[in-house]
Amino acid sequence: MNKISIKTIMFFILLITTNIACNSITPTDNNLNSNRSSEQTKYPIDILDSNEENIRIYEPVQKMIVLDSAAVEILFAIGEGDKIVGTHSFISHPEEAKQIAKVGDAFSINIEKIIEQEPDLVYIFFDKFAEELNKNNLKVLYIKTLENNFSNISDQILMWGKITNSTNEAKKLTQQFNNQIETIKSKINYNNESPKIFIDTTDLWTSGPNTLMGEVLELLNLSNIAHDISGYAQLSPEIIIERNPDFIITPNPKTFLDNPAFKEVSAIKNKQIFTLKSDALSVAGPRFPEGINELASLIYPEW
Amino acid sequence: MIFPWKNTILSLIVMLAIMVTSISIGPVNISPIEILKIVTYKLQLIQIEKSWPESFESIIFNIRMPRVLLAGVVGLALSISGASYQALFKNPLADPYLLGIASGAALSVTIVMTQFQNSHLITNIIPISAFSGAIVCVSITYYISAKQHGSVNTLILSGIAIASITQACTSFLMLYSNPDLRPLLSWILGGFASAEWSQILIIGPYILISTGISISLSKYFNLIQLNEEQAQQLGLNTSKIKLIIIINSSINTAAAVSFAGIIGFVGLICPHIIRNLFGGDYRNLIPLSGILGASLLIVSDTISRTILNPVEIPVGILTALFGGPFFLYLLAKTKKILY
Repeated sequence: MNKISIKTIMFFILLITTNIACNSITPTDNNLNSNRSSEQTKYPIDILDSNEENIRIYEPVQKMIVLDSAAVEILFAIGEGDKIVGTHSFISHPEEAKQIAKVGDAFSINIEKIIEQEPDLVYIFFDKFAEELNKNNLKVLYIKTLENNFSNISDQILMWGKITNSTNEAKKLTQQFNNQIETIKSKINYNNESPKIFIDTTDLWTSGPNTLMGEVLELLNLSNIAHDISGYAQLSPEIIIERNPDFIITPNPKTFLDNPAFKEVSAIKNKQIFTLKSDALSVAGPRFPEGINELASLIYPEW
Repeated sequence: MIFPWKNTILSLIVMLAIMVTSISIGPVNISPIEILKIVTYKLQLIQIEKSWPESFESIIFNIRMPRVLLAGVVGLALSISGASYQALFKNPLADPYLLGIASGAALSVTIVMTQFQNSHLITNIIPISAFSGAIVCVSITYYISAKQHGSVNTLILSGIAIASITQACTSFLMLYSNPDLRPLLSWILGGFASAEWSQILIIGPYILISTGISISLSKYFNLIQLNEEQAQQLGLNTSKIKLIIIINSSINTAAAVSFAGIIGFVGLICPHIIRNLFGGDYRNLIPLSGILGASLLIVSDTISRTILNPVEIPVGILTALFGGPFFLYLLAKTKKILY
């Protein structure tokens, strides 16, 4: 970790000197996917946030508050985890992230603690606290990631690479991420009939097709029995019985096993009811393909 | 004792019709003829050939029937405890929710659910803990309101205070003791999506017994409406009757909250409608508002599981949404509340 930060600082110094020397017009870049041959981020960079506002970053960010699990995982994966000086209380991965100061949760932020850290950047994925943070002269980057999809995850990785001046690492990680997804795709025979699946989050609440989970099911050639709901909703138990899923994924198998109503459902009859062991599928970060693989290995025995 | 046989039997028939209709309505289309066939097949009255998928039997016997019955007993319990609290506090605004009793029950259930997550006994502990929460809250409310000689304002205000305190504690527990608060949240919103026969077997006996007690005590409910002295002149031990009402109604409320969560307004509206239709005699009021409560909640639950097919909406949201305006209408329309 230390080596990397020394390297970044070196790059940073180099960058400033070249900038001063050339006194060139600094390029701004809105397109995070561009394939630039240069391995250095040219500052300043502009990032379009979810309010359609440009956030300009003048130099590699050294201290940031990151109130999002996926972003924390990305930063650690590209070796910039040591620049996070504050995060929220629900961070579960990686192990080192648990040592970071907790400055908020889903319902509240501790504005005093945030200011005390003097961050160069505060990252949030919902804009509830944006105004309060802005008022205190903090640079806020708000990117709505709740409606994420796969390509968004690689965009996010590249974006963090630019912000921290680790474009190389970010590109490597993106490539690895995309390779993993491609490998998964190559293992699936999309001409086969897709098994029916019900993903229970708790109490029959489930995700519809227009969610990240919906996308995962499509990727794995699984047919989501909640195909006609939007976002997240509680599915009627009758409908579950009628649509007769071949697989059920649930955190509480007892909901289904103890209720005689479900005993004729294929998934129960054939004991195809499972609980996911890791939380990888609930964080849209670099571990996401791991989560997809875990789900796939439960469905396809030869995986 | 004069029991309103005619009205009770008539309304029971209406309620049965509602139950049968509700069983035949649902997100999955099963025709009434098919339901009739399935039921006769199950009861083995006559031999008929099986011409329906296995899943229909599950849907009718293990989803709709327990659901309709659970909604029925919960409606009955809420409505009768509402009417009893109204008698006890001599106040038509008393209701298990307004008095903070349901919130008290909800708090103790939350404590149990967050502390004993993996216990197998949990389904059996829930009604008992709900009862202890309910009885503590109603005792506090009653003590304070008795000190002020039963002032209406004191009663409602102390109810609001207790509800705020218990709800604050519930929110705190939900936020800080369990990272996954979805099961609790969906329980608190109230609903019957996960109704099972086993739940009816657990709370059914409590509700039926305490309903029986309320009906048999209904003539005393009339007497405690008189002032203390008059009642004592008639040879009535009012404090004993009141104690029985408190315990009995708390059992009813607690049983309802145990598996259905927070469902507001049923206990307030049903006795009101019956009062407007049949007058304030508790011998009428107790059984009839119980039957009305059951019917009302069965209808609400049927709407909640069909209106956004295939999605469920918590029935507590529906009763508040429709019950609230209806209650306001009643308040505006009635010149004097028959009480």
